[in-house]
Amino acid sequence: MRAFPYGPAPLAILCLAVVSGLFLAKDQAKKKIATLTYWTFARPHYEAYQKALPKFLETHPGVSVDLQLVDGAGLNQRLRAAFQADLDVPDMVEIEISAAGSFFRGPKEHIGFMDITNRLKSEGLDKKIVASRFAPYTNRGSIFGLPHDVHPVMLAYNRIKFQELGLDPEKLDTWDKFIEAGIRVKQAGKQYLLEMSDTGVSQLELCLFQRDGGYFDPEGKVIFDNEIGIETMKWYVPLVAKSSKRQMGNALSSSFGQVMTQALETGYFLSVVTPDWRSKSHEKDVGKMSGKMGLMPLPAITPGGRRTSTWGGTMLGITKASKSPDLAWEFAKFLYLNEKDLAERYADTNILPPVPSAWNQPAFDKEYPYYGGQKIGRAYAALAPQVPPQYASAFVELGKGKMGQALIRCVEYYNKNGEDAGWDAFVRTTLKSRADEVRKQMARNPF
Amino acid sequence: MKESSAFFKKQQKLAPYLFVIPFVLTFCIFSAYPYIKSLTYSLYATSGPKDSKFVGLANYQFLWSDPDFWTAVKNTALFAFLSVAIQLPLSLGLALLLSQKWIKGVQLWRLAVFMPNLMGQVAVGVLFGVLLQPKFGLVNIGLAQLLGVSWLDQKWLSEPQNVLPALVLVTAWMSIGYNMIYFLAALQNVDQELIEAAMVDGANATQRFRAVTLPTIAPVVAFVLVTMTVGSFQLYELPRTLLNGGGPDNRGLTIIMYLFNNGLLSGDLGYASAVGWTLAVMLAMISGVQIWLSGTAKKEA
Repeated sequence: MRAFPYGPAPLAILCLAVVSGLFLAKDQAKKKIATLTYWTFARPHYEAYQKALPKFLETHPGVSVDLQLVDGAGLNQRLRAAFQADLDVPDMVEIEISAAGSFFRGPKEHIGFMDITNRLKSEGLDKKIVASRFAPYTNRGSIFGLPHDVHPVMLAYNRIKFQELGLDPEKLDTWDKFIEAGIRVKQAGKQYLLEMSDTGVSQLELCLFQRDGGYFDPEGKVIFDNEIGIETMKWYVPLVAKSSKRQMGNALSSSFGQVMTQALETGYFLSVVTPDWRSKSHEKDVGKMSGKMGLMPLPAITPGGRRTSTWGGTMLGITKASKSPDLAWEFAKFLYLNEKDLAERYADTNILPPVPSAWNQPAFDKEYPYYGGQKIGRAYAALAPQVPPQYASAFVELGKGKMGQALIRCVEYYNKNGEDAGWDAFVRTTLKSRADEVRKQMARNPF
Repeated sequence: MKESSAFFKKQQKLAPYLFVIPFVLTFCIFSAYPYIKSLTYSLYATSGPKDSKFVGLANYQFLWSDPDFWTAVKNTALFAFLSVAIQLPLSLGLALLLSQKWIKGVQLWRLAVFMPNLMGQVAVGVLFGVLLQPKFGLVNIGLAQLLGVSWLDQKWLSEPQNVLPALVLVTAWMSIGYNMIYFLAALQNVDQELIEAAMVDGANATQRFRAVTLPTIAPVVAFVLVTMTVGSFQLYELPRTLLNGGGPDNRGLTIIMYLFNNGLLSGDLGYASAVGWTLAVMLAMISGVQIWLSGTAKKEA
């Protein structure tokens, strides 16, 4: 100790450093070596794939698959970092629909996902899958993702309250009738017919899609300020503006978790927009309402019109970094196109696969006690062919943000002035100025 | 023996450099290089690090006319101003109160005030996300009972005008205790003899605070002011978790969040770097002014 020139404290630090260094060197974390690495952000997907995996491994001896459940936002950031650094890029990855477009930025040849257009066409798989579901994952003429779902939208409603209030879901087949009923049953701060936000775009955008509108067209041009966008905004705002006589909807800060559970249990919302995946969330999160809920198609804009829209989605991409792209393609087809397994997975998740031939399986005729014995799989399948397309862009998130800002401005205007002489012009200029901001950002992109 | 003492002599000469090398290396790799790289990036249009095109000062020019950037600047500046205006006097006030000897269980009170800071911004964001829910949130339920109404549908987090006040109040709840610790430490250094002399001269509590306490703790006040301002300009996790992003109408969008969104969500590293450097310049200017002002105030005192 005395011989050490810098005193006992530095000696102790040195010893600690050496001991801990040796310990770490001895107990190094073993690197997982798998033939395929697969990232997903959705727990129901992860659990379903874990169940299906042994069957794939049986027919592929010597192959190992490392399935990883990664938090949604974390997955996007990790994947982007992995692409940028060319390090630890998974072979296969599931991306949420609104984030998918952001991976299509930059020169087409530098997109991190494999172009699967030729594989799909040569095997005739493009004809096997609902065509509209390729739209969000198509960029500059190439398909980069296999769609996981269709996500048609229905309304989940409180069967008991509907009966008490004399509302017949069969008869509420157009928005006009639905709105009329909504105005009649509204009790400000206590009861609303439908969850509808005056600040967020979740419900507004599905009304926009229902009318064949959207944020971007197939060429990636901004279109949310076109006539459809304007008409949708003018129609939607009076339904959510506090000062409006037509207000029938309201929203809480979150559409999920305990808050939504209470809102449904107490009858604060008599109905909520429910794509197939959310029908499972209600079952899990709002157990008390078992047998008291029902599902009805979305009201149509005009009699006989489209009775659905779409909310959410997931794509499966195979990365260019994959060392086994053919095996990855095999596994993708096994998970996404194997009809029998798709039926099993539907039973676990309520998510309708985008493969119409699979919908003939008995699982889709199952009666759901939670929804009063309704065959909800059949109901969603019946609506699936009407699901409108959503087109991809690297600027989808920006577009959504700007649409949200336009909605807030329009609600503010409406609350102050109502539908006065300037209303139409205000909606037009507000939407145009927000859309122009997106165009300006897009114009900066030189790739 | 001679040989070994020569060895130690040589080593003693080298020792300072050897001790400094790890820091210098770490600084060069993790700070200097990224600074230079990001400054270079800010002159390029990019799509990740692989695709870049030299655009000169175009990113900075665009920044000037980018409404979202200015929204972020406005939100952040307002947040910083309100946070400082609320937290500084409250922290100092609490420190003065909790340095009084007549208060029973003073350690417990200090701990209670400091505790929220131990939670971390993410946990606080999640917690207040539930507490501030309209209709079913505990804050609304409590306020309704207090006001004697059956329900309160106040939308704390989804009504644009409520977003910033909610952020400021949640941050204050979390940070006041932390800043109070600095003031408590500073108050220990106030010369009690001077206080007693002032009392003998007939100075009341306010006069003693202004003439004796404040000048003594002025450097700490300046330090807290600068760190609080810089911290406010770095706000990110709380609005990200509390509002799940920028919130309605981007009212919770901060400069760091805007930088993050551009760099890591959109892959536009060039533009994000331009935002980062602009923020750095802004912070340097604000801190400079604050330090200069507090120096002037100290001289006057």
